[in-house]
Amino acid sequence: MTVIHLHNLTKRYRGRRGDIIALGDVNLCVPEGEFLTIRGPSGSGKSTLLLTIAGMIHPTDGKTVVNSTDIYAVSGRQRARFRAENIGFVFQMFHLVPYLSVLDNVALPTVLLPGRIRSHEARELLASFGMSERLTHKPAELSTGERQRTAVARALVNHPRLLLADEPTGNLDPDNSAQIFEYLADFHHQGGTVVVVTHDPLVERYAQRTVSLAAGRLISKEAG
Amino acid sequence: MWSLRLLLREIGHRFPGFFLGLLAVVAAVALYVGLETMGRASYRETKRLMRNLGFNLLIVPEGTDMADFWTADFASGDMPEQYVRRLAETPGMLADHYVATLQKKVLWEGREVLLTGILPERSAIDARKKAPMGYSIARGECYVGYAIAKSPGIEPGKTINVLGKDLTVARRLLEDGSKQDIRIYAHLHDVQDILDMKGRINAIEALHCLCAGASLPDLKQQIAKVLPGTHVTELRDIAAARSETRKMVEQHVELIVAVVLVVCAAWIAFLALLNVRERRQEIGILRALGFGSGHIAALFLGRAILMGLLGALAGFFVGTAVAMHYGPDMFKLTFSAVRPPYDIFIPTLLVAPLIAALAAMLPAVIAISQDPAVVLREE
Repeated sequence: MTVIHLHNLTKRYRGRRGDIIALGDVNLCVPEGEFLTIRGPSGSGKSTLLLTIAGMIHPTDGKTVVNSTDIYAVSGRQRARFRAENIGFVFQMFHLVPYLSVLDNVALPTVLLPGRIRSHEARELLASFGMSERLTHKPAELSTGERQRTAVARALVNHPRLLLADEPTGNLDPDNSAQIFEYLADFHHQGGTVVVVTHDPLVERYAQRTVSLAAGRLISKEAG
Repeated sequence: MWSLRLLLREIGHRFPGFFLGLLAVVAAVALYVGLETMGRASYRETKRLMRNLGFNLLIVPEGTDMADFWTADFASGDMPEQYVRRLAETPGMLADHYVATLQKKVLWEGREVLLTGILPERSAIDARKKAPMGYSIARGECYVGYAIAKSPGIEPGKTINVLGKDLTVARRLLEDGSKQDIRIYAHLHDVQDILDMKGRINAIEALHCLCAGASLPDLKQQIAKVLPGTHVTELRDIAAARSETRKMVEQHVELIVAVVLVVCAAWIAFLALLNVRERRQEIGILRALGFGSGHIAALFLGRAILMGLLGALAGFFVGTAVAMHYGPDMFKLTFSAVRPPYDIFIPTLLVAPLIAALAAMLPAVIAISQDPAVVLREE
């Protein structure tokens, strides 16, 4: 089954000197259970592509089908709900809520799903990430590695089918980077689909396929 | 529940900003409550002071030549004394404090004096019992004007004979600079006896109520129905002074409250804008996690509502305490009537959060319309 299907995906921004093409006619299929890496120089459109797949950047043209849902054909509210239920997102800058504890940060996405808030699941997830001692700590009290582990736990707490990660190890040392890729690989081994934008060579150990972007266009497809 | 938790945690995290907003609401509400309390006291005080200016309505028999009246200071005609009772017992009248008088210029001890009979004041049947505005003279007693009181032998407790009737001097009046200085006041029934005019009066003085909608034409119509054959005159100077002073007091308070509300709302809006700017990333991440516009707006509006509610609660008690502390010193006549304005407690608790929410509306809209993708790509 295809988890991501991008068809002629185009994103143009209006600039003073004409349109800027952030993504141009991108066609990409990601089957369920794949670990895909996206590479490319700065400004090539990698983050735009990831945020478009996440339903946060409305494309100018083309189709974005995720888990069989054309995500830009539904309302903003439905898209937000879809994102909460199906997609986990990890950012380079962690983006944890500064005033919530580690546990509350991880449990936060479960607020949006029906049923009870899954604090116990958040707790278990954090324990498996070696964060049991940090449950009540605030993000400012954590090391960068711990922050990213918290962010990964938050991305996984709703059991998404798709995990998107934008330079998840960009701010980490090699040990912490390896650990983060291990967590992504674990998710992948459990049947999850992973799409990572990264420059980190470590990812080659885990990625099944790597695609490259240049000036918003997908220029190569290579086996991982 | 989680929204409240997020709200409270955020407030705890950025407490100085919240506290500054809270302080503004406390100050605004305290000022409003203080001004309202003082305004009411000031209104009562002004009312009392204005009332002390005297009656502002005169009811005389129809056909009275007002030119003669002002020359002589009394009406030549007369009317039944029972009119005053009829007037006081008619519900819904736009006037109060009815005093029946009978006045005549008489020769006493070789000089012209104004002999004035006064019946103790009657309050309107549907009005709250109030202190009388004019003199209340017992039978057999009299009050003498300043010019008369200078005559030898006019001492309190002494008896004087007025046209065959003995009256005890109960009070010598202070100099007034008006015709009061040549009056001898006595009970109406004593004066009726002296003038042989039993059951007759020649004027009723009253106080026209200056509350909203109580116009003079309306009152004249009322009186014409109840007392046919009478003529109503407004003592315009006194009425105008009362009316203008009251309006001025009310307008002053309204203006100050309006200015304070606008400044407070602007301050809350400014702080909410700062809060939105500070929380751009947080809004972005909440969006990325799937939080909708309603959730995001609720966080900002909820913050403002909580600020308004807490500020109103604290402001009410601060304002009341200040007013209760300084009020009695400021209002000498009505100090006992300076009371906490409990009737505006609930409205204040409702309106302050509403105004705070309205002030935070624009920042909340800005927060909702912020593009999360732009924020999340910023590093």
